[in-house]
Formats: sequence, C-alpha cells, structure tokens
Amino acid sequence: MGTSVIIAENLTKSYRRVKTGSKKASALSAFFSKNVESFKALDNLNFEVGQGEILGLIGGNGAGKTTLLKLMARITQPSAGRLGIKGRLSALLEVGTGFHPDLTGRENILLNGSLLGMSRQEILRKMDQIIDFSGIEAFIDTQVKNYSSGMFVRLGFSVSAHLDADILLLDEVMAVGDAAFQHKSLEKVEALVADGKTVIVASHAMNALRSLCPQTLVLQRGCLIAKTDTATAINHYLDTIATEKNYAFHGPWSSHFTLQKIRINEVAIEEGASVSPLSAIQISLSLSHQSREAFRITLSLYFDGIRCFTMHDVPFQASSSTHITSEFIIPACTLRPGKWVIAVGGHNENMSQWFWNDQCAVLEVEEKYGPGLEKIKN
Amino acid sequence: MPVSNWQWPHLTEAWQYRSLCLQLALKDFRIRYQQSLLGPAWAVLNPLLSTLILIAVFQRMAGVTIEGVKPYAFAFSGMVVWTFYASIIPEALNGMLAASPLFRKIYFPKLILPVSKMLNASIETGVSFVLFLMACIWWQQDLQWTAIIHLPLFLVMALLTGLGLALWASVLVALSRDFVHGIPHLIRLGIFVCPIAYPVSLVPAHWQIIYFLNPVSGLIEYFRWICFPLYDFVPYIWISLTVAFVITISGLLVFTKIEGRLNDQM
Repeated sequence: MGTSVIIAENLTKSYRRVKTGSKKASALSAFFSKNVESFKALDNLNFEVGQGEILGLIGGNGAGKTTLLKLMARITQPSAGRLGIKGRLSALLEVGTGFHPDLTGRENILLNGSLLGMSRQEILRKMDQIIDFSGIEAFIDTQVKNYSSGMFVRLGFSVSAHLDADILLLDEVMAVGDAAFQHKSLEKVEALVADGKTVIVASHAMNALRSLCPQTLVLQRGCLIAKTDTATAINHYLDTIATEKNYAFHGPWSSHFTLQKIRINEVAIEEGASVSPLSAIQISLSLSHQSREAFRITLSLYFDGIRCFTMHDVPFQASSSTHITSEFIIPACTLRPGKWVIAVGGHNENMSQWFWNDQCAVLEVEEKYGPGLEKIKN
Repeated sequence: MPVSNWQWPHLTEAWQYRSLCLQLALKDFRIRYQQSLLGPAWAVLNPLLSTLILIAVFQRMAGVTIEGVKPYAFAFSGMVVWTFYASIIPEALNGMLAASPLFRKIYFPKLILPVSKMLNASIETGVSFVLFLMACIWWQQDLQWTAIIHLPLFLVMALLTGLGLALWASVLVALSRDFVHGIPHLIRLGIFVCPIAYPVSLVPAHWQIIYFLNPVSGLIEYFRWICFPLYDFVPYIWISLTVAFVITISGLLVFTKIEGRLNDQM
C-alpha cells in the first residue's frame, strides 16, 4: 500500500447556524448576534488513506459525507485538527461547475480546466481527447446554453476526468449521461484506478461499492464509526440506520407530517426482530399530520442502495383525524433474505407538496428457504 | 471559529493558477460584448463616448485655466485615471457575487478573482489612454516626454491601488450584502470628490490634507504631473500614495484572512 496520501488528525468541522426561531441570517448580524450556535458536521476524525487505495464512503443523511469530501477538496477549511493531502486532487463532486452558458463548449473547456488547476498548455494538449471523450464534437463550438443537460454533464465530466490527478473524489457521479456514457465513465475510473491513483467514492449504491472498494469508511452524525472491509462497513451502516431511529422528513411538506411508529407484523421495529420471507410481511406506519389537503403515503424498500419496490396506500384522501395508520402487506416469498432499508414518504395529488425520508429503518429478512423461495434466491 | 494569524496570500499557488486568471478575464471580455452588434468595438467606443460627453459638459463649465494645459486635456487626463477605479470596484463586487456559487463547489485561490477583474478593467483604461494621447496630439497639447520614464512606476502604483480597492470591495461584499447597494453611491460621489473636472487649487488649503486621503485624487494629480510640462507637483500626493499603500497591504491581509471562510459565508 505504500505511503499515506491523505491523513486526517482530529479533523473537526463545525458550522455556525442561526438558532431556530430567530430571523436574522446575514453574515454581519450573525457575527454580532448571540443567536448563533455551532454544531459539528464532523467530529474528531482520524484516518489515513494509502497511495493507490480505493476507499468507499457511506453514511446516512447528514452523516458528514459531503462535508468530508468538501474538506478533502479544500472547498472548505477544517475548524480544528488537520487534514494533510499529498498530490494533486480532482473532485468530481459537481461536474460542469463554473461553466458559463454564453461561452462555447471549447471556451468552457479552457475555463473549467483552468478552474480545476490545469495550465493552458495542458488543456490545449488534451483538448482533442476531452472533446472526443464527451462525444459532442458536432456542438463543441456552440454556446453551452444551447446544450441539452446531458451534453452539459458529459462535457463537464470529460474535463474533470482528464485532469492528471493523483487523488480522485467521486460523489455518485457515475450516474452521468446515458447508459453508454455511464459505462464509458466507469471504464475511465477503472483505468485511473489501474493507474495506481487513489480514489474515494461516496455512494449509496452498495453493490457498486462492494465491487469497487476493498475498504470503506462509515460515518454517523459526523463521527467515524469504522474503517473496515466494505461488507462489514455496509453492515455497520445499516446498523446505524436501525439504531438512529431518524424519522425526520425532508421536502416541502416535512413540517406537516411526523412518522411516529413503524410496526412490522404488529411488533415495533425497534424490537429488532427479523422476519421470515416465507410468510406475508405487514408493515404499518403510524403518522400524525396537519394536512387539510388530500394525500397518500408511499413506502419504498431499498436493497443495496437500489430501490426495488415502491407502494402507496389508498387513493388520495383528506383525513379528518390527525393520526393515521397506513398498512402495507408484502406477499410471502417476495423479499430475499438480507437487510432492506425502509423509506417513507407522501405527496398530494399534483406532487407539488411532498415529504420523504429514504433511511427510516431497516427490515431484516431471515436467511430461510422453503417452498416457493427458489425464485428469489438470487 | 478558530482565530488564525494574519497571513500573506499564497502567491506561488496563485501564480500556478495564472491560466485561470487569464481565462476569467477573457470570459468577462467575451461576455461583455456578446449579443451586441458592434462587439469588441465597444471597448473603444465606451471610453470615446464618455470622453465626448465629458467634453460637451465641460465646455459649459467655467474653466479655470491652468498654465500649459488645455482644459479638455485636463479633464480627459482625470477621466482616464478615474474610469479605471470606477469600473474595477463594481466589477470586483459583482464578480464576488457571481462567483459565490463556485466557492461551494470547487477550490481555487480566490485572489485570482480581483486580479482578473483588474486585468479586465485595464483593457478599457488602456484604450482610454491611447485615445487620450491621440486627443492630446489633436489638441496640440504639449506632453512631457520624460513621462515615459515615470509611466511604469505610475502604472505599478495605479494597478496596486486598484487591486487594493478591489480586494476591499470583495471583503466588504462577503461580510454583508449591504455594500452591494452602498458602494455604487460612493463611486457616484467619487466623480465630484476627485479632481477630474476642476483643479485642486479650488479646494481650500486647510482641506487639502483630508482631500488627498482619497488615493484616487493623488493618482490623478500624479498622472497629470507626469504628462503635462509645467504642471505643479502637489506634495499632498504623498499622502494619497501612503493611503493607497495601506489599502493594498491591508486588503491583501484581510482578503487572505476571510478567504477560507468564503465558502461557509457567501
């Protein structure tokens, strides 16, 4: 593995936020006002990344993945502790950053390339390669504002991927462009990995992490839970979801709905009992709400970070009571054994109002096989 | 929030990003004249038009004659220096606002921003200067040929002052958006408090020390002293130059201090 290229020592990042309930939010008033509190997005992280290592990064919502990537990319500075980085780093956090709509594709390559720290000569040398990789030769001298969003991200990814970096930060960027381009991007990343570059991948796609990264960091609420092999790390991560009982929603309707209890087969999910796949599974959600409008509740199940099932309850209806219970029944022999992440949400008829939490709880399906289960064994 | 010590900007790193500086200035230049029929011709037309307006207005004003300087040449020389500062400050201000989404997504030495704005403002000012020389020949205004020796020194000081003002404008707008509204008024006021259309001698003697606390006043007078033979050297220029020096140094220090926090603040 050789020498370490990233060293974090007691790495802490705290943000100041205006206390809830106070209105002033300008930098100057926050500076003078006492209505600010600080919260730690990252708390005392210690880890090292060796040269050539391919490291995964997982954690629930608000665990600090993005903050950690931003610190590594030097977009923001640590509040305490130290983060040492050796070598040139390329962050594919948001591709196409700094593109100007009024410039042509070619002019934007020059601008974006220099923004990433490439010299003019370096960009000019790689210009043909970049254009070729993006696959939009025909439009390269067209203003970027006339591009489709697909063309835009393809060009953005091409520039970032051609930076001769020693360390590569990826944040779910593999979901760029169409299937063919995604395949090409993945190949490019694999080529960089084969080249001995250090790669850090933050992702919810567990199977992608499992195949790409031998080791994975698990974050929970700003703390480093583990740096271990990816299979164990994923288990840790699912445990964090199960223990955290984080039922808070996000979305425009998040303040109107509160998820109070999830019951699996009449047992509260905190009891942690696993269920057999051989019989039907009943999931019941208790919610309180303040909506006068008609709505419906949806329930999704994720396996390995992939959404496999989405169900919704009764047709849209307004409820007179403030408490509702939604029941979902999953037929026997449908879920394969393993840990399923339960996501809960809801929306009104035209989808203008919604709420969502994709990491409410974990449903553990037992490793039991029997008649009828052959079809879901793998 | 940790209180870091005052630091100089990381100049070697900024130098590594010089290509970005050039690209940003080029971008601004291209964007500015895009979708206009005349295109980059505006780079010449802008200073030309503002000079013509100045002359039209100046003709009606009671001119105080200065020995050896034609009234138009006097006004034009002030205008050349003034437009540089009048364009660099709002440019730096808006540049910070426009670039703030970038701060959240990508790392680059922020010093590049005001420097690229300075380069950009230099283009039109350069054109203005050439127009000024041509006009002086047209008006048969005597010029001091030793100016060529002084000019590089003047340029360094003018550019550094411009950078200092741009840095402070950037810092202020990062602290509070109030300055987005306040600073343009200061610039509008500047056209009266700088000796552009009137000679310094009109300012009462006991006010002159305060008058020259404005660095731009000193630079305008310095420029005239370089260009025109027989033009008096006002010793108060030294005050202006000292203030300019303090602005630039403090601008660099303060800008570097808040640079790391820009992402969280803007």
